[in-house]
Amino acid sequence: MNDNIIWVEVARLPIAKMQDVLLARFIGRDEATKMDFSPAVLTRLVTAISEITRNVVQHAGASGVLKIGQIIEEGQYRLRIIVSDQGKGIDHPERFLEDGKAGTLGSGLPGTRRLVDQFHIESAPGTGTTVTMEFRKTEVTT
Amino acid sequence: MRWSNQNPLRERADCPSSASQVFLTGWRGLGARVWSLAKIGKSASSREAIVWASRLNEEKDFLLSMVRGMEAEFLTTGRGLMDLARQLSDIQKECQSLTDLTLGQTQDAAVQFAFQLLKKSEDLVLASYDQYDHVFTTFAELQHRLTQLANQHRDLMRVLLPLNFITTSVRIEASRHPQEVQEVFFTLAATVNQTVKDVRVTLERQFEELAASQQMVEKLVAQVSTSIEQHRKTVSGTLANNRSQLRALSQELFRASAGACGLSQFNQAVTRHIHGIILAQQCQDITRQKIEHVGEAMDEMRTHLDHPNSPDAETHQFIFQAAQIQLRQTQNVFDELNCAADSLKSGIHSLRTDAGAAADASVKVGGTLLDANIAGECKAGIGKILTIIQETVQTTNDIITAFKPLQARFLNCTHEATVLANDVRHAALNAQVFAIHAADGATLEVLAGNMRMISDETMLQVNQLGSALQATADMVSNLRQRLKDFQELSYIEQEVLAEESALSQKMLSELEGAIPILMQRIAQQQEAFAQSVEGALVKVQFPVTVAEANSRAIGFFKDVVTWGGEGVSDSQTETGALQKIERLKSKYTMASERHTHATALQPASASASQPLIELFGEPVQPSNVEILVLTSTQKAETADHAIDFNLSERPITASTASITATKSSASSDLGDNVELF
Repeated sequence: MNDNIIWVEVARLPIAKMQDVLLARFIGRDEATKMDFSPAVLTRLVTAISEITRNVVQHAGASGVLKIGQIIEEGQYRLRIIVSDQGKGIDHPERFLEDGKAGTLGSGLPGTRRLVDQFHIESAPGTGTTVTMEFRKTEVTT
Repeated sequence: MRWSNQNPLRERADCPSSASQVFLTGWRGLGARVWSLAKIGKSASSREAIVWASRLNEEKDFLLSMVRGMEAEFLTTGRGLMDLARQLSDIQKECQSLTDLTLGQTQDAAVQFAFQLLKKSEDLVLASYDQYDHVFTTFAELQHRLTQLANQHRDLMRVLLPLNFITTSVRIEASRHPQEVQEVFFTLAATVNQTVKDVRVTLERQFEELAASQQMVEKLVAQVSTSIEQHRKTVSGTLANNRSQLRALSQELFRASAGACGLSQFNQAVTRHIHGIILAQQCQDITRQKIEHVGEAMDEMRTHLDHPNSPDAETHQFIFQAAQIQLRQTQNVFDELNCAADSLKSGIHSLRTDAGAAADASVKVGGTLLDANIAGECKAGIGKILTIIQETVQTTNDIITAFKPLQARFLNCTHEATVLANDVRHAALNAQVFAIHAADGATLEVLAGNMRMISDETMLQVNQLGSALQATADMVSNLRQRLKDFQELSYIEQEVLAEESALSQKMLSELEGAIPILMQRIAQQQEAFAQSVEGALVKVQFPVTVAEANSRAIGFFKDVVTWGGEGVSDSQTETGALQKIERLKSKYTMASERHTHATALQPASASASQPLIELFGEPVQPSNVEILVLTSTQKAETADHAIDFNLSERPITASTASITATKSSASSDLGDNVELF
């Protein structure tokens, strides 16, 4: 992702328990509502936050942090969500982005990637995982 | 090489070709003409020349008629094939829609959405379990603290116990003093006794109430614990069931999608075959111009044969050489046409095979049955989890309510114990002050001092008890606040999930409704397509026409060559004939060729009423038709240059191999002057 952009952090939340997943959803929805995102995008955003933060609670083996911020680039606003943890991490994260075959529901990371406008994952065994997601304001607010 | 040496008149009489009745009808007219010439005394050679001239004319008409017929067939069949291509395109779109719906690759795919909703609902349930766990932990801590508080209560009562003996001693000692002193200390002793009694009674009452509240909470916590176990089982069962159902639905959808993909692949193959058939039929466009040139040469030959003063030897030599050239050219044309006919036959066979396979596949796709209960049960499962969420939210509310009086009791205990301890202390201080002022009150001073010490100890104990009570009250307060926060969050989540659940149910219902209709429609369209294929192919006569015309035209030119060769000796060279051949060749220059192309193109571009041909879903505008025709003629031009002219080195058969795309050395002999031959 381009580093020459303005990043304004608007919320930060530790992720350790399932209630934090709910809080993360609530805060994400709240911030996106402030930015006037459409209800359809709100649903996608909340679902994406749920998927990623739930991964931290259930699989990382360590607590994580959710950061929500606004990206201002060339007068355009985007909502960036960063979920990072110092947990187990995963080897070759790109493998987890492939769509599931028959019998799987293809959710998790591939499903989340489809929900967001931009998706980036960095992970390695023992060093934790950082997922960055972005939402653009492209849809008409209803 | 086997050329016929028979007289064409005799040969034609028993011609086995089923070429046409027109040919036989023409023979009757020709016979009458020969008979009339014989009657006016023409030579046999002249009579034969006239017959050949007539036959040249007929064969030219036949060839041109064949080309026109092929062109008409191309347009008719082409329209049919284009309709097929359009039908296929529609089916492909439907297959794509089915794949999109079933594979759930879109952002808002129903199955994905339902599954994610389930997980979000599960999050809320799991988070509520976290809260309950916290309640249990807090309650366990509370019970521990209540035990400690009971001990502290007993300690306090133990501290207060000596006050009764001291007040009695104070009264005994005061009775030795004057009346006014007695009254003061009696009053003080009574106040202290009353206060101690109040403390004991009040604290006992408070602790009893506290114990009652604790029992209520304990009962509620036990109920929550039981219901949580039940919820865990229900939620875990429902989630497992819904996951399993969604997975089954997903697999059904995947199968439907795989069927659609298979069908799509068959249809892609069918589309390629249609394309191949059209391309093969377009060969008529490429060969038309060549046939027209052959026709012009045949006119030239006929002119020589019709000339009354033409010497026999020269005519024979001209006809011999010109016919050789036409034979080669016709052979090349039919090589191309035969190749196209083979390609066409092969394409038609493949088209029928793959269209049949596609129809079979479509029956399987149409026959894929979605279990209508799956989506319905998924919806019910989501509803069940939402109900559990409602219950957990309600339970949280009950816990908050139950802990409220407990918190109040702790605070009341603290307050009342402190007030009473202060009262004891005040009484003790007063006793001390009065003892100092009383005459001979040393004993009273000692007793009042003891009372003061006990009151201080009481105050200390009460403070400690108060702190413990306050801490416990704070603990309960924190728990209640935490539960309230969670409850607030739960309400919001519950509302959002209810909305999403309604949306998910709508999406699943639409999916349930849309897919069978789509699959049924695909099956019907594919069936209609299979019928259309037969309708379109039944009109294709190209291979039969080419086979018949090939035999007839090649046979004819061989006959002409044979007849022309009969009057030519190896040593004899007729200068006039050679000049005419050169003149004939010179007519087919590149410039002449381009002129012919331009003339041929004019009707195509000018004719707005001609039906436009759409190639695989792309409507071809008139300009594109021109391009198409131009491309074809350019191909013809290129192919003409590449034709092998060395007749002696090449066997001529009715059906020869495909054209070799290399320019022979013999062609260079004719130079740029000869474009076609």
